[in-house]
Parts: sequence; structure tokens; C-alpha cells
Amino acid sequence: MDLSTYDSVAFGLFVKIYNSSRQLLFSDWPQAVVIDNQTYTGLGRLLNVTNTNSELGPTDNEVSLSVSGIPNTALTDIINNPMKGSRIQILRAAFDPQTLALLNIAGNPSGRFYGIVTNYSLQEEYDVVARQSMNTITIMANNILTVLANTASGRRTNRVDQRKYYPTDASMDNIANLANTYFDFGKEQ
Amino acid sequence: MSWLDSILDFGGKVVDFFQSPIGGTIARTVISGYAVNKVNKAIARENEQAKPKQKEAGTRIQLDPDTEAKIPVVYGTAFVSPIVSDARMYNNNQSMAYCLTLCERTGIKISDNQYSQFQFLQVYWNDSLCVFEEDGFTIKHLLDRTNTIIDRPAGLVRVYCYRGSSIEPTVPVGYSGTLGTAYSVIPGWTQNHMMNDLVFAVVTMTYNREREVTGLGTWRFKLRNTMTLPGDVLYDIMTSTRYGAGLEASEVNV
Repeated sequence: MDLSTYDSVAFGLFVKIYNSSRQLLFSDWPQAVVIDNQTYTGLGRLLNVTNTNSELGPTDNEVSLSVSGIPNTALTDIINNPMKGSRIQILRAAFDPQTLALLNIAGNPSGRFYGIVTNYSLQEEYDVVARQSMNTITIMANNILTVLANTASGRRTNRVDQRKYYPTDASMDNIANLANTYFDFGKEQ
Repeated sequence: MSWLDSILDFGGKVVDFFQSPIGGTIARTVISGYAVNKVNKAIARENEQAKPKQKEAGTRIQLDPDTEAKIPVVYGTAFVSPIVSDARMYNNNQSMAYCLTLCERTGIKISDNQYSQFQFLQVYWNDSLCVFEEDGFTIKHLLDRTNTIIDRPAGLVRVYCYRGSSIEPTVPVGYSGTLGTAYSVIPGWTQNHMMNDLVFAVVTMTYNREREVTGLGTWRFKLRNTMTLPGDVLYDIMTSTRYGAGLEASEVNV
């Protein structure tokens, strides 16, 4: 991304958390932005993303995102959605700080982090004066390298593994029984 | 007629000899010995017929299946030692069928958008190369390390090869036979025994102690996967959900 011709630029982080059933799109930009025909909700300062290191070699970086100001009414929605295990993509986009428009240059936005949600936690903040509580959700994510290390396990020769991929395939059903079976091969009756 | 006179003279001497006391004793001894020998042979023959025939005890086989064995992934050419994943005995204990799992079937090659294919290059039994009949699955003879022909298992051992599932039979390279499905070979298997996405072999054996077909022994298969290019392999291992990282295609920059 060549920004050498600009006097000033502003950056925003755009987070996409998705799984097979649904996706969440939000950013720390103060207003909604459309990227790749998808609208990211602007959370502004309510979203905080920790720094990550850029390294030449592959490392198992971890990043955490905190979204604060979540009302109690939204908690059920968060808890009922299986966020753990979802894929996460964080893009960094450059804007013109005067017009708040996305800069139309090659490579903008650029990928910053690709990984998987490994955990999340909820923290309640109770305002005694206002007598209401707000919540902060912290999402921990590991990058793809960790995903590679964890998922490349392979299929084993047993009923559970075979049925996991092919529920009606009975080919491996007999393996456990073989251990307790004697074959009197050639014995005349 | 002097020769005729000589014969008559000799015959007379023989009669005289057996009529003498010593000749008579010898003659009785020989005749009684012959009779005893005949009687003994007859008794032995009767005993042999009366004795029940010894039944073949066979060979007791206990397999050591490994339910935690990870099915290997093969790219390019490799020798693979199989994992026994099923065994059945049939034909009144005289035949065994083994299912030998070899490796995972791999995916599509991104270099040409074609499915990777497996070939069986060679099959080894007890470190000897299997040479098959024209059908491509019946063992004709073995070749040991010194190229000596071993024909003892001829016709008693059959190797059925499958390159991805029970309904995808194949024969080793160089043969052109036609095979049936795996579930038509292994007794007790049905259409639910599909061995989905697995390269495997079914070995059937007919017991014969004299010809040394008494157990599974050790098998090795030389396989070739048409997926050989590093980019294809890397993409396959990154995107496979069975043996790889399970990344979505959209997450891999090709």
C-alpha cells in the first residue's frame, strides 16, 4: 500500500468473525464502512484490538479484541452464538482523515490478521448511580499457524473417526473386536 | 541232448537236498518266515484303516489391530506397510479375508484441476515380489531377493486392490484384469462397507500347510500418487478436512 503521496492518513481496523451459520462485522472506525460489499458496523472507541507483531518467519501470534459498551439485552445473542472456533479476519484500512473516505489505492484495505477464535470472556461493569450494567466482551484469537498445528491430526483406523467423516460407513466397525478374536485358520471341523 | 540231461540231473539234486534233514529245516524256516511277514503286513494294514484320520489343527491367529493408528498420506511414490482394519474367516475355517488399509485418498491438484490418482506399482509378501496371473489379483508365484521363483502359494492367495473406495477396484500396473467390489470379496461386508476415501487392499488366503499358506505374514505395497508437485501437495494438506488443516479454499492464496 503506497501512502507516500498523502500528507495524512487515518487507519481503521475491520473485524469479521464468521462461521458456517453467521458472521459478525464491526470496526473501530466511527461510522459504517462497506468493504467487499459487506457493511462493517462502526464501534469507534468501543472496540480495542491489541497489537500484533509482524515477523518474517511464521509464529503463533495471538490477538485479543475487546468490545465494550454491550448492553445486557445483547448478552443472550452473544452467549447463544457459538463464537468459539469461528474464523476471524482483521483488515487494516487507510482513510482520508478529512473526508473519512476509504483511500482508493491498490492494496487497501490490507490483511492484518487471519485466525480462529480460541476463547472469549464476558465482564460486567455495573454503574451504581445509573443502576444499569454494561458488558465488555474480550475475544482471544490465534493465527492460522496455530490452526494448522492443531487440526492436521489425521484420520485413525477406528469406528469413531470413520463415522465422523462418513456416518454410514461401517468399514472400521470391526477393528476393536479383532483384538479379542482368535482365528483357527485351517482347523478342520 | 546233453543239456536236457543236465537239467534233469540238477532237479534231482534239489529234490534230494530238500528231502535231506538239513534241507527240510531250511525250507520250513523260509516258508514260515514268509507267512509271518504276510500276516504282519495284513494286520498293520487293518490297523491303519481302523485308526481315525488325524484332523488338521490349523494355525491360531490373533491379530493386533491398532485403533489409534493414523492413516498415512502418500504423495509421489512410496512403500506403504498396511494397517489391518478387518479380518474374516470363512469356508469352514479354510479361507481368510483381510482388509489392509494403506493410505488416504488425496484431493484435487490445483496445477491442472484434476483429481489425484493412485496406482499400485508392486506388491510384496514376506519380502518377495508378487507376480500375478493375468487376472491381476491371483498370485502366480513370488520372486525373492535373488529372483528365485517361489510357486508354493500359487492360486491360494489373492490380492484385490482399491484406489479410493470399495467400488473403485484396480489392478497393479502391468495387469489388466477386472475386479469386483470389496464388499463382494469380503464375507459379511455390505454396501455400507465403503472404505470411503481410502486406498486399500483385500487379501484372501486359502489354508495349505504343505504350501506354507498359514497366515497373513508381512505385506508392503509400492504406491504412486499422481500428486507430486510441491504446490499441489501444500494446498492439499492445507485444505483437507480429514488429514490436513481444513482451511477454506478462500483462505489460501493460490
